[in-house]
Amino acid sequence: MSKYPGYAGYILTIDLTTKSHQISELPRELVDNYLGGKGFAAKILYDQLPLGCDPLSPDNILILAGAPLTGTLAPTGCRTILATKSPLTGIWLDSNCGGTFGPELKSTGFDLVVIKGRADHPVMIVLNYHSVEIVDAAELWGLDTFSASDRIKEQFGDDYNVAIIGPAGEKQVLMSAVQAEARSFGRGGSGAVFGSKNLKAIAVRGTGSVEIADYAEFIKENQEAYNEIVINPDTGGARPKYGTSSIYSFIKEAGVLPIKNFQGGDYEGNDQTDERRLKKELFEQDRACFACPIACSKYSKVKAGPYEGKYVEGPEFENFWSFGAQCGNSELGSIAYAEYLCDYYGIDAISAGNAVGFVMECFEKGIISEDELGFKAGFGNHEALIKIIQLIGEDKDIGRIIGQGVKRAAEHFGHESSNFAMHVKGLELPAYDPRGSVGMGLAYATSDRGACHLRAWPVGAEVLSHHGRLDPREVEFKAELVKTDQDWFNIINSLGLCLFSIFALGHNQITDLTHALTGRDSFSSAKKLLVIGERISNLVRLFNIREGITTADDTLPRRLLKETLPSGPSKGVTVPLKEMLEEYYLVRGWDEKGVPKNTKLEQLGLK
Amino acid sequence: MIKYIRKNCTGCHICEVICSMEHFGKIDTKSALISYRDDWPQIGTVEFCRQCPKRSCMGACPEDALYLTSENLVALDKEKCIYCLACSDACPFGSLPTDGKNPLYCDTCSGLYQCVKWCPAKALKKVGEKNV
Repeated sequence: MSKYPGYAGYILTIDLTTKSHQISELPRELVDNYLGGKGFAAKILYDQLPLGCDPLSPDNILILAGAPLTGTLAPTGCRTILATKSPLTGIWLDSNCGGTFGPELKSTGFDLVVIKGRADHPVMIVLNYHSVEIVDAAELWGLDTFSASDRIKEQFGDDYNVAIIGPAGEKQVLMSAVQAEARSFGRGGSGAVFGSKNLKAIAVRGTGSVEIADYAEFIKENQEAYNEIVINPDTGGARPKYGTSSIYSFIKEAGVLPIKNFQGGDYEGNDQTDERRLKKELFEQDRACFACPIACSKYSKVKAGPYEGKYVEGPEFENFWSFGAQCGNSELGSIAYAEYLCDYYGIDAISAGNAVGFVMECFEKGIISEDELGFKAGFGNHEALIKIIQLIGEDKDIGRIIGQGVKRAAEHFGHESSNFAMHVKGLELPAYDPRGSVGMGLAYATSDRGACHLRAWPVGAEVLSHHGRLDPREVEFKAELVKTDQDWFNIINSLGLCLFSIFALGHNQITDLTHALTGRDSFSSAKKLLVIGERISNLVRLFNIREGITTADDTLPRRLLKETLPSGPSKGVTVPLKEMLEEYYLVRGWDEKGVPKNTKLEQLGLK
Repeated sequence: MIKYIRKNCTGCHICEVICSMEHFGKIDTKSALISYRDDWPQIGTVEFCRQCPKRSCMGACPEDALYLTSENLVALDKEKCIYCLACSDACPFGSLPTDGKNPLYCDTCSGLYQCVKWCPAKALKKVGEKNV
C-alpha cells in the first residue's frame, strides 16, 4: 500500500534489452516538487535521458506516468501521460490520453512505468498488481490496433486495458500514435518509439486501491465540482450535446478555423458544415471517459453516402477540422472514416489531416503531380484523403514521405513548400489559425512539444470568453496569458484531469480537490501548485535547450507571419510574434535568447 | 430496488468509484458492489444485484450461502460460498459482479443509494422515484 494518499506509490523500471525490471518506492521529493503525470515524467526524463540520444534508438526512454486524481472520483480524473523524446521533433514529448487505461494502470500499483532498451523481437508488457511479465508478441506484429487489442483480451481476459501500436508505429512512421482503448496518445510519434523498442503493447489489469487523506472533505469538494460542471454552459450544456466540436461555429465565425492548409477562403459545403450537422448526421451515443460527468465523446455511424456503415468514436473537433476544413472537405462520412483509419493504423489524426492538406496544396500548386501520386489530390477530394491516410498507415508511396511530417516532406518536395508546411519545431499545427487569435501564435511558438493547443489556449480569452475578453488582434497581456496558461495546464496534466474540466472548475476548486485527496501541505494552495507548474515549464525548457532548441525555433510557419487571409474577420492580419515573444521571455524570467536565468532557476529550486 | 437505464448510461464508472468509497473508505473499484463492463463501441452494461423480489439466486445456491438481512436484503455468507456463481447464472438481470471469487451483493448503502446519487447520466434510479 502506498505511503501517500492519492498515489499508487511505486515506480516500475523495465529494461527491454535485458528483460529485467525493478520496483522502487515513489520518492517524497518527487511527489512534493513535481506532483504527478507530466511533472514526474519531466523530472525522470531530464535526469535519465542520455544527452542527444537518437529517439528511435534503445537509449530513448518511454515513460507512462499516472497522477493523483487519475482513477478517483474527481470529475474527469482519468488521464495518463506518455512522455519520451519525440522522433518527429527531436525534443520533449508528452502526450496524454483519457478513457480507462490510466485508472487501470494506477490499479497495478505503479504511478510511473519507465521503459528502457529494446527487445530483440516483438514483445508486449503485461502488468498486474505489482507484477510484470514480458511476453512474446510476434503473432500480433502487423495487426491493426483493434484486432491486436482483441487478441490480447482473448488471451488474457477482457478486463485488461491495452495501450498498443498499429502498423504505423511498427514501421516507425514519425507521426504514429499509441492507441489505448480506442483513445490516443496521439501527438509527436510515440508509436514509433514503441516500434523502435519492438514493443507492440502494454496490457494492464490491477487490483490496487487508492487511499483518501480527508474523506469527508474529498466528498464535499467533489459534490461542489460536479455541481459546477453541471451548471456550466459548456461542460453541462454544449459539450455533452455536440461533443468537442461544440466550439466549431464560434471558431469558424471568428475567422480562427484554418481553411485549406491555412490559405483561407471557402470550399464547397463550408456554409452548411458545423457541429449541428455533425450531431444530426453522425452522432448515435454519448460515451464518457473514466469518472467524467461531461461525456463529450460520441459514437458515430455514417448513415448514408459512400461511407455508409463506417463508424468511429468521434469525430473530435480537431479531426472534424483536420480532415474537413483543412482539406476543403465537407463529406462527413469521409471525416469519420479517416479518423477511424488513424485509430486502426495508429496515426496522429491531427498531424495526418494537416499533412493531407499540405499534400493537397502541393498538388494544386503543381509541386506534386498526378503521375507521382497515382491519383488526383486537390482540395475537397475525399477519396484522396482516405487513400493518403492508408498510405501513411502502410508507410508506402506518398505516405512514406508525408508520414514523416510536413517539415521533412517540405524538405523533400522543395519549391518553397516549407513556406506553407504548417508546423512548429516539426509538430503539425492543430485547428486554430492564430491570425484570428494572435495569442495562439505565441502559444504555438512557445509550446514545449511544438505546435500545440493544449499547452496554452488564448483562443478562450480572445474569442470564446464573455468576460475578461482580450482583443484577438492585440499583443497586450498575451505573454502573461500564455505563461500562466502553460504553468496551470502543467498542473492539470500532472493531476490527471482533462483540460475540459477547467471550463467549469477554478484554480481553488482544483487545489481543494487535490489537497483533500493527498493531504499534502505542498499542495495546499493554488499558488503553491502554480510554482510547481512553473517548475515543470522551466525544467522542460532546460531539456529542450539541452537538445538544441534556440530562440530561432520559437517561431511560426512563414505563412502566418507574412501572408494574410483573403477574407473573413481575420482578413489582413499577420501574427505579431516578435513583440509577444520578447515580452514572454521577460515574463518568464528568461534571457533574450529564451534561456531561463539563474535567478529564476534558483527561485524554482532547479539550480 | 435500483433500476439501470442503459440508454442513459455513458460508461463513466462513477458508480464503481463511489460504491467502493462508501464501503471501504478508499478507491477500490475492483471490490465495488457494482461494475460497469464496456462493449466498445457500444455502451456495455452495469452489473449489480437489484435486490429484486424474485431472488432466483437464493434458490440456485447449492450451499445455502445466501440469506436475508434484517433489512430484507440478500447477502452472502462468505464462509459457505464455494465460488460456483450459480447465483450469478440464475440472475434474471444478467450477472453479478464478483471480487474475483465471491459474488458481490448490493446493500443499497443502507438506503443511501450512493451510486444513484452520483450517477451523472441518470442511468441508475431508485424504482418508484422519477428523479433523485
